Amino acid sequence: MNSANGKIGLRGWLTHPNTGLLARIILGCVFIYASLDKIVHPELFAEAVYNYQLSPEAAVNLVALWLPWLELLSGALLVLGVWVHGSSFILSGLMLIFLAALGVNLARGLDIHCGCFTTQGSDPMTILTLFRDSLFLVLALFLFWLYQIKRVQVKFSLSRIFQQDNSKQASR
Amino acid sequence: MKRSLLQAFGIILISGTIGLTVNGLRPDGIPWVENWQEKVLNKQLTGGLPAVTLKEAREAYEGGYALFVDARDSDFFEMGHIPGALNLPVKDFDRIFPKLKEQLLAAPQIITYCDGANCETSVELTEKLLFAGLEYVEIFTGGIQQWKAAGQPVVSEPAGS
Repeated sequence: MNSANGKIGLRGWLTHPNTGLLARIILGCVFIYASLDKIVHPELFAEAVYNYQLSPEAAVNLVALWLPWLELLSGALLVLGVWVHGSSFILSGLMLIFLAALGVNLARGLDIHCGCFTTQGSDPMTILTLFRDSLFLVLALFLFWLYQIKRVQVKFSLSRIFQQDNSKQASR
Repeated sequence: MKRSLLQAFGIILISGTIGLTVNGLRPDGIPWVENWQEKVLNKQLTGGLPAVTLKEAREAYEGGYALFVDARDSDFFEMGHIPGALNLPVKDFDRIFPKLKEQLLAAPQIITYCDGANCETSVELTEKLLFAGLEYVEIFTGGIQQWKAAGQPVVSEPAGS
């Protein structure tokens, strides 16, 4: 990790457990925040899903009922350091789907609101939205790379804290 | 990779179960499947005010949890209306509303209607009711015409009986 002169290189910074922790907290909180308004207003979110015109009509409400909870659960697990492999995998997949949906509708020229963070229609879909979501995708892929490929230790993992607690009790 | 996929599958399953369970428990839950084309068309007809489809109006009627309010003049109301509906003609709103206010406030859901998709009095009535402070007011845009065409019950009795 450390280079010859004792300084940490870029690779060292990227694979440092604290970097992963920071990225987890940022991405997790973004998804938790994004899910709340959709959970409170399922009908309005269902309309946003319908407006994208990408989901079959019969699946619109089911997507609207399931997706916010998927965001909330994945975001919360990421922050808590539980099932980070699965949650970073899901968030990477979700961001890819969101980006594809945004791209298709921007190309179609549909004048609809994004529905990304609010269901109230004050969230227009622009090139900036595409840019913002690309950053989130990079963050999600980074976390997946960090924990799945580089196998960096998950710092402040709730599941590990419990495991340690249990093993301490067992050794008494 | 196997671990990631297994965890992802677990998260998908748990979130889906929570989402559908919470929706089933909350009073403003939405149905799993809806006719969105009709719903969006309704919204366009009502200028963005909340609207219900024939299916939703029928469910509300059969469930007995909605109060129907007929926006047409009393002559038309007496010729045939949805059983249990109140008559609140838009042109007499200021005179009749105070008499019906308590009943309207007590209703968990109010559904207004007029003749059909081409009349606007149910929209005007809904605007007035929302302005008067009532919350759950929706428009059945199909109106009495669609109601009758679907073979739903209609009664002929004077207003206020």
